[in-house]
Amino acid sequence: MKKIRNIRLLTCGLVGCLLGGLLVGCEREYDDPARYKPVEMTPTMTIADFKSLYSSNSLEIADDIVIAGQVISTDRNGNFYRSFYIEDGTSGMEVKIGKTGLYNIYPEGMTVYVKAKGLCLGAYGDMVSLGAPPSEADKNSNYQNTWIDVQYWIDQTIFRGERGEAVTPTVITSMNQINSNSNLFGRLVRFENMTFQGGSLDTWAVSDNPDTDENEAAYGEQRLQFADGSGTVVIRTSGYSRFADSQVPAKGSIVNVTGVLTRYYSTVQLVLNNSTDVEVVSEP
Amino acid sequence: MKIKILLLALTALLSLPALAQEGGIKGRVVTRAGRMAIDEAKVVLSGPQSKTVYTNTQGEFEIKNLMPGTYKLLVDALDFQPVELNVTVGQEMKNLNFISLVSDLSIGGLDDSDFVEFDMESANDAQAMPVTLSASKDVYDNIAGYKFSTMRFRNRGYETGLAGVYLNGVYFNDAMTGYTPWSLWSGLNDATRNQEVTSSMGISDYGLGSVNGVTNINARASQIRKGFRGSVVNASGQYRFRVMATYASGMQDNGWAYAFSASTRQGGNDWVNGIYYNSWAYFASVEKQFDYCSTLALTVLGAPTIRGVQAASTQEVYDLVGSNYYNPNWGYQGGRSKSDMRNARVRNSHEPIVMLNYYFEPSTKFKLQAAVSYRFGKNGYSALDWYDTQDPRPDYYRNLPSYFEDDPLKAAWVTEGWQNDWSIRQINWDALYNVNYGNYFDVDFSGGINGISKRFTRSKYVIEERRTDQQDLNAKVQITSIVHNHSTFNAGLEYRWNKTAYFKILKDLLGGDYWLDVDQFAERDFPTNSNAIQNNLLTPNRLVSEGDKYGYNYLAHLQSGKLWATYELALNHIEAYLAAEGGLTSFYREGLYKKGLFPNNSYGDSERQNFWTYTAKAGVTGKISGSHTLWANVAYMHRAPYFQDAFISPRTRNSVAPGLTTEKIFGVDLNYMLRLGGFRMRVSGYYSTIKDQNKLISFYDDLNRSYTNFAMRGIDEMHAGLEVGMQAPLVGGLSFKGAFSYGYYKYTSNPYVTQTVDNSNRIILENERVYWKNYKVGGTPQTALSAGLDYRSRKNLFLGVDVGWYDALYIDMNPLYRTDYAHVGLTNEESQAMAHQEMFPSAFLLNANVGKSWYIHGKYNLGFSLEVKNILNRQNIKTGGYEQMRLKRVEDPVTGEIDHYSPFPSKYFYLFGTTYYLNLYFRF
Repeated sequence: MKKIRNIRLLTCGLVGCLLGGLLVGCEREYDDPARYKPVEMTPTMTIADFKSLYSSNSLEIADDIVIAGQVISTDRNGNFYRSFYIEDGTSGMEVKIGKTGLYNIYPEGMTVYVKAKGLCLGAYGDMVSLGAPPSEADKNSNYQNTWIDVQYWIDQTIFRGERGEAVTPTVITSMNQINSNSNLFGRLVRFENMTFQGGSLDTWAVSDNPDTDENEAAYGEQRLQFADGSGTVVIRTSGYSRFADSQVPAKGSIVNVTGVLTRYYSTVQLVLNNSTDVEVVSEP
Repeated sequence: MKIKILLLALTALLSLPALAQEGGIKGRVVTRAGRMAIDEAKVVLSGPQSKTVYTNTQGEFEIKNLMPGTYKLLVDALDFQPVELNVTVGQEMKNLNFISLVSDLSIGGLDDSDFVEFDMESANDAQAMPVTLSASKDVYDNIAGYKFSTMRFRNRGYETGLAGVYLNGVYFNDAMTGYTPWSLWSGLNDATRNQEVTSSMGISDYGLGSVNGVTNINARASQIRKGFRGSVVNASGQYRFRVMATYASGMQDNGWAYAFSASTRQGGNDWVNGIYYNSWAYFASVEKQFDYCSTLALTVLGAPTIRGVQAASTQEVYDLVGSNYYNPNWGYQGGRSKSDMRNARVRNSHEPIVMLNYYFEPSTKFKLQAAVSYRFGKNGYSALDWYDTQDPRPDYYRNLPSYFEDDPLKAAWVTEGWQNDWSIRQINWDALYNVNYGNYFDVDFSGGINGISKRFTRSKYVIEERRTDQQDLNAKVQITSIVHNHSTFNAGLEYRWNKTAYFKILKDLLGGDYWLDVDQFAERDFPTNSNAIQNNLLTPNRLVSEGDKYGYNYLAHLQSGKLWATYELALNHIEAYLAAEGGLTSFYREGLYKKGLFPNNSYGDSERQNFWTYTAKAGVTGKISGSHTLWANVAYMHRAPYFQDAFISPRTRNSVAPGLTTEKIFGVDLNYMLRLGGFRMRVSGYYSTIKDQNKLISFYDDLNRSYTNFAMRGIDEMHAGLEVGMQAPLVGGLSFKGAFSYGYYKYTSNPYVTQTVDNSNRIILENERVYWKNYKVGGTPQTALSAGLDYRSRKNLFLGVDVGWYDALYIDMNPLYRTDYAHVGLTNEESQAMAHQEMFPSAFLLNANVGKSWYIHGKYNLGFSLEVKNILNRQNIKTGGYEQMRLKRVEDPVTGEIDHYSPFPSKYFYLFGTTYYLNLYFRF
């Protein structure tokens, strides 16, 4: 009798074990982490004033300067790469953060604060940007600053504020506006009533051919002319953008274009966020 | 004269009955290791008469007054494996001399968790387990199987597919990969303890086997030791706790036998963060003996297991963190306590087996066995998946100081981050969730999707689970016939049907609302082609929720049939055998998704691949006196390639690997065994070749940001070597045992490789030659030595200490490093450096164990065993590693053309420092 009872007990124990196993045999549950709270900081100077600190060489920032601006560019479509532009109404500038997939973390319209101490102002083709101080190798290649690139460093210098609506672009209809206000560089602008002169390609840029090992990607340039004949703007597009192979408007079309205003020495350039930012007003 | 003869005859006749009662059996039961007498061992006689006796303090027993006939003798002692003998009793006392029992103490309890498994970033998710021969009674296999496993030793250097594992007579190696299936019954040590092992090239009673031995596990009710066994384990090297309980009734008088076993293993270990076990196992078997001839047994078992896995990393990372046990697979989520540690790579499997066995044995000369088994269930392996966003892996090469070797300022920042910030050192789960929280579809995807009208978020980071869900049906019939008392004829017919579903499911959206099922890598190459980016053209732009399949989905269909026969002849001093097997294996892939990049070659059935297979074996054994045995085997086989190696990119298309063909294996060995008193030694020499292997290596290539596949063919190997196993009783209860393996395993051909990328129709390399002839086979120490002393006292106290020495362990190679393609533009020095195969430094280990058991009330047995491994706490012993499967492209900055390639640093696994395994057991 005792033996049978023992066996019964055992069987119950084993079955219990088994059932317990099947029930508990689920994976661990984890709570969803808290949402990041937007940082609130006060900028110590405007972007315009900050850019004016730069004269002709790399300038490593030694003071506790904080600048703030809204993000006006996106790397979603591949035309911007490893950096984003911020503007605060006075001016705009490129922050060479160095990471990819930036639109996931710093979406257009978000206010971003930068603690500039330890970072470095530099220019490329007369366009001032903020990045990391250049290494020996960078200096040898004539770069005045470089990507920040290190997450631990980024965590201590670049901060995310509130999300917001996209910035309203500044409307430009004449080169005179740009000539009289160099602080427009780095800002989101909208050229209106421009004549699309075109370029050597009928697409925005040359994309890489995935079937070969070689790298065929190349920049494309398309020209826009102001309605008042005051000058020409070059739309410069990377071969890595998703819209590189998209057709450009017909030569002679009248277009409105929104993008980030940049320069390369005396050439005024526009960098597009997306080909949909080109609005064809009328065909030629 | 006549009267004398008559009188003699009468006396003879009269004395016959008296003589007839003088038959008997006697013997002396001793330990195998030290020839120590085992007292209180139970000796159960069954046959024409039944009797039970116990051995005396000298281990002796004697059973008198037996009728002539054939008897079965079962010798059983607690702490030892039972032994069953067939004894034919005549007119006199039969002296069996020494009956040696092998210690049953499961020191350490070898199970699949011993083979600490590392995530090798490969897409071949199946786990390969080494062969364990520790259940073997052979003096070399017994030691090598257990001791050498610490260093991930592979017996004779072979991949596991060459070792056969049978469950109740049914071949159970995985149908898709050939891997030994230990994980199916992991945690059922008690239920699977009864094993019959054939070493190396010999034939087994259940099939011909290959060249690396056959293990048959007798896991049915009557084969499990009768009684109750319970144990509790506390350990520091595999899991924290294990509880196991087993009960078996043994074959009862009413013809029924039943057995149950269940266990659980829980917790992590002392060395690596993120590894944990949450595994259970169950076993139930019932058996009925109908009359004297037939037995029917039903067995059900399963091992639902969830466990977190470790990944290897580079030496730079180990040095940065200050520990060789860094695991990049985990990170903190939501907090910094232990319960917040989350591992991205978790294995979750439950693959139960149901088996029906039938035995028909009308006489001692004929036996028929039939079996049907069905294995089903799920097997999943999780991983992080991400779409167009930063690589979340903490040891991604761009997150390391070496990436910034030209910029000391940044390198210093990186180092400081690694040393101070958990969110840099490990996966930053909080950041991944926050990316998902803020990524809205209407901003992110302009394609237009049905069902997205409000602001839903699109997950950029998710956890996927890659599944290999099998349905495996086996049917087998086997007959054994003993002819003339000295020859045995065995023949069998086997059939296997297998359908395996390969797919991945979305396991965790990590805070987002949906994932979109498009191929992000195809999107990079064809950004405006909305068809090319689809993973399934039949359901384009599909929104994926948790639990949904996505990405890839295909079936493997396999059938194989085999017919085999063996003939064994046993004469006075010579035994010989001949064996042959022939079969057909046929498989094909059935795609269930129509991949945008391969619309005509992904959906539906691939070409059927058919392979005729055959095996031929022969062997001879010579027994010179009782002490010397000499035997030799020769084997030749053609084996079908595995499904997992048969397609160049099985996740995306039906294209068959070029040059897919059967493997040809040849082996020959020569063995000598010496038995002198208690001294035992076995020396073996072997030579084998494997030709025409096909292998598919799939891994994540972050240069191409996609899975890439190496389909290799024409891989030839040579495995040769010497093995010595020795066991010698010394003085008192002290004995010595040792094993030595000296192997020479190398590649003997320059194979071809075709490289494709899962997410492009481009063929990156086509039939490129891999120059690795004469390079060594990696992943196992080719020289291994173990030597130890064991002591057993009268009062069941066990002590042991052993040392191990391992050498000639080579790294697993990346075939790409030995192609012309990768050496373009390199200087001679750079070329040699890239082609060089790393050999790891030799390793010396010291282990010890102790155990004792007590009898309570004569019936209950309580005991413990404690094993401590790596007593010297060496933390710099590499047990393996691999060259990273990718190349760094160095471009000419002016032209953008490729100047040359450079290799990435290799990744390594290290042996844990000191670990212990404490087992407390109770039996009656």
